[in-house]
Amino acid sequence: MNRILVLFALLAMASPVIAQQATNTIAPTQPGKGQWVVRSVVNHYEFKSTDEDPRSGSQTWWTNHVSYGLTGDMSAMFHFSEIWDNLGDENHSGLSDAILTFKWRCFQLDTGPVDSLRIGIFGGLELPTGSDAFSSNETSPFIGASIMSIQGRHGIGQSVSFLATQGHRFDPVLAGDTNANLLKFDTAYLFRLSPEVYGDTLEGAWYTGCEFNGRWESNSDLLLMLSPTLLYESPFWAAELSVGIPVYERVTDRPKLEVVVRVGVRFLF
Amino acid sequence: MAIAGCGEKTTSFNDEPIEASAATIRADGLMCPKCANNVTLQLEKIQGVEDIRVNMNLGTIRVKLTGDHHPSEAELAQAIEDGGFTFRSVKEGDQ
Repeated sequence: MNRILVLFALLAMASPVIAQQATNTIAPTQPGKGQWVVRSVVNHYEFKSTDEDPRSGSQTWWTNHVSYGLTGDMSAMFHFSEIWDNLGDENHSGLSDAILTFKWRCFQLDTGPVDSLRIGIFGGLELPTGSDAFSSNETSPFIGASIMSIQGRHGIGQSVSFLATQGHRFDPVLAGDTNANLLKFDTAYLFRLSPEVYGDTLEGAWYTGCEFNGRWESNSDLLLMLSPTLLYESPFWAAELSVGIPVYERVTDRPKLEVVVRVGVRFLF
Repeated sequence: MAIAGCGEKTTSFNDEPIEASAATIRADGLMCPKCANNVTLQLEKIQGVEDIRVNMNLGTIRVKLTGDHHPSEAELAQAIEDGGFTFRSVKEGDQ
């Protein structure tokens, strides 16, 4: 209960700044200097058993991202998740490992009122702060880069990151849970459905699009996924819905992912 | 067209207070409604700036300037840059 109260308190501190950003593809955007962004996303995963792992069922992550703008182009971000695991015979819940990220937007070319090309680099640590069932019990570093271009109603982004995994979770379920290193590569396309042209006051915008999400691990596991996305952004709040559908999956020692549904909301003040 | 790379900030702006009771700022790279609202948050921190109206189609931000302390072009430009956008110009009046 206390955790929920803390989360709502953080949501109340939220302010608007993350850009036209897809659910999984990290964008080289950030809060303005001295501003906070809080984003809350629920990821519901459905799994099916494999020859090597008889577990099937679901896992639900409630992930909260708290970002702070250190300068106009540097930010710090903290992630933490509550996990509900309904895989196999035992159900349990707990906190995931926390993630600390620093991001630097190192290139920015603004060519029109809404048009922009931005490149960022980021890095950080996964910290062994989670519950016993969900922690890797080691500190793991990661680095990455992202690029985003918005031209009129079209937005495209790409991000790549590498996690040098130092530990592993007791019951691996997702990419990165084993002690294999993890390479994430995500591409996103978003199209502004409306308004076709912005008016003379700030108004909300609807976007649709699709992400291509890749997860390669050094033990040769590979997951390729398509994620259709719907996003609404008002000046004060935003909501996102995304469904991830695996198109290729090769995993060992863990169940196969059938589908992931992501619902996110941002309250902006 | 301005390119900001690897922290480079080279332009200097006028430090004299703007005398008019309104000003119109031109900025680029506003990207999305929430991004553009960040301009409002940054400008609200400046004493004497009120009634901020962002037009994403034109890339303009109209502000009213009140009180004894009117901001300078440099202060307005810094607010736009702190929001993560590219400042182009400021003109006196509600244009």
